[in-house]
Amino acid sequence: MDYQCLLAGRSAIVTGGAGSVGRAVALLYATHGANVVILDEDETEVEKTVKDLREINQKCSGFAGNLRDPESIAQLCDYAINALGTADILVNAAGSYLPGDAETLEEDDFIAMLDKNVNSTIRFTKAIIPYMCDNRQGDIINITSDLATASMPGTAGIAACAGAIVAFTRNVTMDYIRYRVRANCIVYPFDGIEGRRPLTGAPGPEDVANAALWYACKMSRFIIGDMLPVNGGMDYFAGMRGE
Amino acid sequence: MKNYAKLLEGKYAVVTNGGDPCGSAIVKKFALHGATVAFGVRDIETGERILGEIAELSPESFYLVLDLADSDGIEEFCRKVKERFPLTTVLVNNPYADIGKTITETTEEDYRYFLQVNQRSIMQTLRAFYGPMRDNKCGSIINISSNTVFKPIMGNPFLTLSMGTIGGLTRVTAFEGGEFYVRVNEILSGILPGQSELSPCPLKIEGSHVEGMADLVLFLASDMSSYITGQSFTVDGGARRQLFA
Repeated sequence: MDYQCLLAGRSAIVTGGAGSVGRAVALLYATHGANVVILDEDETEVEKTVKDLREINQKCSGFAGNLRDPESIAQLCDYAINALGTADILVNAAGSYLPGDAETLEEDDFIAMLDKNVNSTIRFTKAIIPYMCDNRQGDIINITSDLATASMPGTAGIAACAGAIVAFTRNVTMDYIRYRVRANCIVYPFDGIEGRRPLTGAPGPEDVANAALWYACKMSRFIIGDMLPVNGGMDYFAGMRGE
Repeated sequence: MKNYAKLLEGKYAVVTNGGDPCGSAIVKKFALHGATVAFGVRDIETGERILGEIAELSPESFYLVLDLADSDGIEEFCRKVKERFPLTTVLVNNPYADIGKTITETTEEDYRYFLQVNQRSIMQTLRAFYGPMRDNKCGSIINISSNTVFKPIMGNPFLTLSMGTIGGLTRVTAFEGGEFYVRVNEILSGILPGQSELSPCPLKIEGSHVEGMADLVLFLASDMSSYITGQSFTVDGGARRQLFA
C-alpha cells in the first residue's frame, strides 16, 4: 500500500464540498490521488474550491444546486457521474444546524434540517449506490453531528437528524456489504457548539478529513457500519474531577 | 503537509506482545512508518526472527523476552525500555491470555492468570509510560481487547471478563490524559489472541487480516487520528452489528 497516495485513481463525490469540512475532505482526497467532484449549494464557493482542487488534480470538478430538492440532487449526481465515469467513494458532508428544543424548534427549521442532513444523505446514497454495486466495491462516508451520541440542551433537531444518519449508515452496510460496499459514519461537533471535552482544544476540519481519508482507503478495510467520533472523547464526558 | 508514508517518523513505540501474528504485524508496520520499536516476545527465536525483518527499516528497534503473567517481569521490561528510549510516545497493550474452559472448569488460579495478563499488565505499563507522556504533552495509547466482550464465545468466560475491563480503563485514562494531549483508544479485536484470521463475519476480506489490524493501530498511533480519544473500535468485519445474516 502506498501511504502517500492512498486513493490513487479512485473517483470520489463529496457533498457539501465547499463547506469547511467538505472542502478539507475534498482537498485531502485529491492530494491522495483521487479524482474528486464536489457538490454544494453556493456557486461562488464551489468555484473557489474547484480552483484549489485543480491545482492538485486537473480532473477535479464541482457543481452547484439545491441540496434540498430531490430532482436537483438527481441532476447533480448525473453531472458527477458524467465527470468521473463512475463513483468509488461517496462522502455525505452536507448539513445544516438550527437551534431549538422540542418546543421552540420551528417547523420550517426542522424540515430544513431534515432535508439538508438526512434526506440529502439518503437521496445521494440512493443515486450513487447502483454504480458501486456494479463495480463490486464502494466506500460511503456519512459525516454528521456528534449529538447522535450525547445530548446538549437546545439541539433537538440536529440530534434527531444525526441519530437517523448513524442508523441509516449501519443499515446500508448490512444491505450492501454483499456487493462490497462499505458504509461508515464520522460524527463531530459540527454545529460549532462549545462543549467541554476531555481532549484540549477543538477538532479542525483537517482532523475530520483525516478520519474520512481513513474510512475511504484500504487502511480501514475491516471496518463497516461503524461510527467514529472525532470529538476528543466528548461522548464519554461526565465531568472533570472536583467539579 | 504530513508525510503519510512515514506516519511515525522519529517516534519511540512500545508493543507489549510483539510475538503473535497480530503483534508482529503491528511491530513491522510501525517500523515501516519510521518508528523505533521496543517489543515483548515470549521466546528469543521469535524475537530474533521479527527483529531480522525490521532491522534495515528500524535499526535501533529491539525486543525483550516478556511473560505478561509475570508482574515483576513487566516492571523489569518497562525499566529497561525507559533506559534505552528517551521518550516513549506510543504504547500498544495487546495481551493474549486465552484458555478454553467453561465456568465450572476454571480454577481460582486461572482467574488470577487472566486478570494478570489481560488487565494488570496494562495497568503496569500505564504506570510506567503514561507519566512521561503527560509531562511532555504527547502520547497515544492503544489497548487491544477482544470482541468477545460483545459476542462471547463458548468456553471462555474469563476472556470476556478480563477483556471487558479494558474499555473502562481506556476511557478513564482518556479523561485523565485529555488535557495533556495523551490520547487513549481501545480496539475490540475480532482476531482471537494468537490467531491470524478474523472470526466469521459478514465482510469477506481478501488479504491479510492482521495487516488490517496493524493499519488501524497505525491510524490511532499517528497524527491522522489527532482528535480521536476515549473510543472503542470494533474490528470484526461487522459481526457485532449483524442482527440477521
